[in-house]
Amino acid sequence: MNGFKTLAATGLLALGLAASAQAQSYPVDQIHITVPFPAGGTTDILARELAGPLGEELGATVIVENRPGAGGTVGSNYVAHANADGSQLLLTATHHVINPGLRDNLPYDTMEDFSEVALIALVPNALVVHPDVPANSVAELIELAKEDPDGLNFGSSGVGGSNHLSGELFKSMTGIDMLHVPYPGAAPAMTDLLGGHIPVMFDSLPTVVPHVQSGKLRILGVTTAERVSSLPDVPTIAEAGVPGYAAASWFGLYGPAGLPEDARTSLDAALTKLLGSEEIATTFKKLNVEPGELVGSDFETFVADEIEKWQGVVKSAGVELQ
Amino acid sequence: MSLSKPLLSGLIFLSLGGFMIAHATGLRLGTVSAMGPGFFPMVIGILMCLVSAVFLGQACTSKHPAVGTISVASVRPLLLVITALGAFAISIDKFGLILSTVLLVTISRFAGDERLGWLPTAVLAAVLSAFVGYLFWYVLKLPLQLWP
Amino acid sequence: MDLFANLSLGFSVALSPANLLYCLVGVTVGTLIGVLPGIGPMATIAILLPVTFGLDPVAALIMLAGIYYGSMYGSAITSILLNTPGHAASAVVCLDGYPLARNGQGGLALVISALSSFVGGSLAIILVMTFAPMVAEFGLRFSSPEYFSMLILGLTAAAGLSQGSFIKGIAMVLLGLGIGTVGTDLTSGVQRFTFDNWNLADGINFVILAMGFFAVTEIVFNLEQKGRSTLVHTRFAMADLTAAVRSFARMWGAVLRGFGIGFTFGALPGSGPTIATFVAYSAEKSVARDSSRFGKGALEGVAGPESANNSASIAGLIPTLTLGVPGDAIMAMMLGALLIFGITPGPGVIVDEPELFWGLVASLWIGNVLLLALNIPLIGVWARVLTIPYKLLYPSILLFICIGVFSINNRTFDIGLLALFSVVGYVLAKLDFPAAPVLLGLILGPMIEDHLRRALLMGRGDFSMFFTRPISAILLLATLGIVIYVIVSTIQQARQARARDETEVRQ
Repeated sequence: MNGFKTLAATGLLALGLAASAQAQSYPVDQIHITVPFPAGGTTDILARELAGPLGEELGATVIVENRPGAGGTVGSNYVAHANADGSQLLLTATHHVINPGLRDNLPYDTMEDFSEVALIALVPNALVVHPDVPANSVAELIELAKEDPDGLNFGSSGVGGSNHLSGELFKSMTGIDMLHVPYPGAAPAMTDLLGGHIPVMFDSLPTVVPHVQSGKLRILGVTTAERVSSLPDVPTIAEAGVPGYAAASWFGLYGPAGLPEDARTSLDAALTKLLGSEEIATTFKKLNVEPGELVGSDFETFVADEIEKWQGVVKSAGVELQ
Repeated sequence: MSLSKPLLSGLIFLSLGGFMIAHATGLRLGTVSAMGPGFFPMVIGILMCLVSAVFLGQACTSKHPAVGTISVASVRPLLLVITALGAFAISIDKFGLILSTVLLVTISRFAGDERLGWLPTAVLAAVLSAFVGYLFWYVLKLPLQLWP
Repeated sequence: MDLFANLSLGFSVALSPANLLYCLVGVTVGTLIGVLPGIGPMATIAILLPVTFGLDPVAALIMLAGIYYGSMYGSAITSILLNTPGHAASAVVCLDGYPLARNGQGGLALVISALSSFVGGSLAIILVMTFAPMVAEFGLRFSSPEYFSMLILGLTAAAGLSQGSFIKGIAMVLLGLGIGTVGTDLTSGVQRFTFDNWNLADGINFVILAMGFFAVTEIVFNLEQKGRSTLVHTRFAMADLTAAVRSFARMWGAVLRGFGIGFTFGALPGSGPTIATFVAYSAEKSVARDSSRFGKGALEGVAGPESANNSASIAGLIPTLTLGVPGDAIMAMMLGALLIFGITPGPGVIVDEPELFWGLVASLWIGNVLLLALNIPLIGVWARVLTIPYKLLYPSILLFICIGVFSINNRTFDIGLLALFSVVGYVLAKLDFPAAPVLLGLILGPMIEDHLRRALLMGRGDFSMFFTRPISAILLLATLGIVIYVIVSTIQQARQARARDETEVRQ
């Protein structure tokens, strides 16, 4: 059992439980971050990387708990109805702002039942095609789709995910038709793209880059509003012929509605400091995500805009509602 | 109580199949090139009904009605084991890990013919709740309450 | 031939004293948690994953490899001894492992399981080292039509699993397929059979069903038998160990077949060890001279699937690391852990990060060796679990099953579901329905539906692609071959049985 103790100690350290008590702290000593996805996913990893530094900053114990299910709604619902003293937080992905448009029977109100805390991280998506597709730019792809409306399929990680709706947004803004082919997750879709079984996909940049470098995929554009610093030669889709196009995956931190003022202030201060820190920049770079910069009310406005945008996309795409 | 096994099997799968079909009709069936969510459950439901027809056929043509019947001498083990599971499920959110462990051990004690004495039951409950409390709550930090 | 260069690179990474220690800690803790009934490898790894986060990447990976093997074997121990399969592959091992344990040969079954798994895994490692890039390339030629045909082949091959009545096996596969449709429909996002309950939106986890149909049902059956105060009286001594190793020497055929089947299925992106173990079991059953021994404690029924399981897991590293497509939920979690350590899966992973890839392969093998070293001496102790008075044992098993089921999604609803499946499983077992096919249906059903629908979507509803695409056509031909073989051998058996009856009558 000795090994067990060593291990337990390592675990405690890793979870940031050994955090020394520091001066400022709003009146809770344990903070639970609910992740509404399974252990090991990007959201979970972000939460665990954030837990240590955040705990040190606030002088509290930060524990990550996975409550997966129903595209994140199970965990979100838990936090929506949790005690609003700042001890229960939620770290979730773009699903949070897509769900209101997609699901008409959500057990909570995405705008009313949460306090928006901070935009933690962003992941740009990229529009990629298999090398056999005779299109070297976004404009050529649009041309191709117009010539042969039945010919192009695009893959996604599933109905209502960010890379499905990035495609639907593209379709509705260009007026072309592509058949959506959903997969159980991004990885199997990528495999079919690499094998040439589907021609087009919108997927997260970190996944795409190694395949582009090895020549197995061709990148036509990035989905962000501005070019990505690591790929300065790749145009944005907006530049390349679809003005105004922007769609990224992002991860936000929320609390239940009505967080007390002191909790808000401490969290704002702690996250502003952390998200600008060298430590987080290094960690996030390793995970291939970019640190978010929006905190507090700026983030709240961002969330409201995103909900509206995705609701529009879901509607114009005619994604089946339940 | 004794029932013919083929008859009971047939009735179970007939009702399961009927249920699948009934639910699937509320879903879109779609076309071959774009199958809807109802298609697969519908096919399964129909196949279940076909299978149940085989069982019912066996029940009708069985030459020896006495062969292939089940008899349930006692439902007590099943009932008490299920009650113990149910009690644990209901109590763990409200009363925490320790008390629901005690509840599960106490209820399941009655399930067998050979029962633990009350003292050993108490000791078993104490040892198990200490163990799971230490391991799952303290060391592994499952999101469980320990205590009400 | 870079095999030796690769090997030595891998081992130079994995064999430092500190890394060995982490591996040992991982194996030990993985076994100790995994051996609790109802807590499968999935739950064990999820629970222990955060523990590795503070370490440097190589150490963490090695510890994770240890946890992986420890939990897989820990779960196999309780599957064999107590009929509590915490993992789809263990469900197959239960079929003959548990009868062996009930006959007082639990120790023997554990030795065979550990050794078969070790040999299957080691052979697979050699193949991975030699052929990984080629295999990765081949996997890309599989798309939905090929997967659909492969799943149909697997389902047909595994139909041999049903013991006794064929039609009852079919009925249970259908039940599994039906349960597999519960949850959000992947293609449309529509909820099926969820009755507006969010807890059902992601479908029903395999472990809940397995615990209800196998573990709890078995407890109730044991409690119904009067005058059985302990399950088994015999103990496992050192002499039994040498005897067990000698019996293992006769299992070579089963282990090699399991290895081949496991590697083939494991190397394909997204198919995973489950189907491999089921197919390996029916392969053993069909090559055996006397297939009636199966289900009553045939050693090949343990050796083949265990070898296939580990072989498939190792082969699964190829698609997991080069394509980022994990074969099952456990591999998905391992992949998630790799991402934490800054490793992005991709085609270049083998070439660009050789230390990592070969280090991981070597540490998996070392994890395997340490597991054997640690557990062979402990087998006597594990086997002794069955000599505990049953009135002490069953409340403890029930408790761990509840906590294990809870820990999958951290919700109590699943324990309620467990109670429901226990009742259903019990009733069906009373009616002589076999439990294993329902698990096969549950696991393969959603994949079959998904691939069929996607194939037809991409092919615009044209069924001919299943026959015009060469790989798919070959797989369907093989399926047809199996069907013909089954029909012919059934007719032959019936004829032989009739002939035997007639001679008996004459005598």
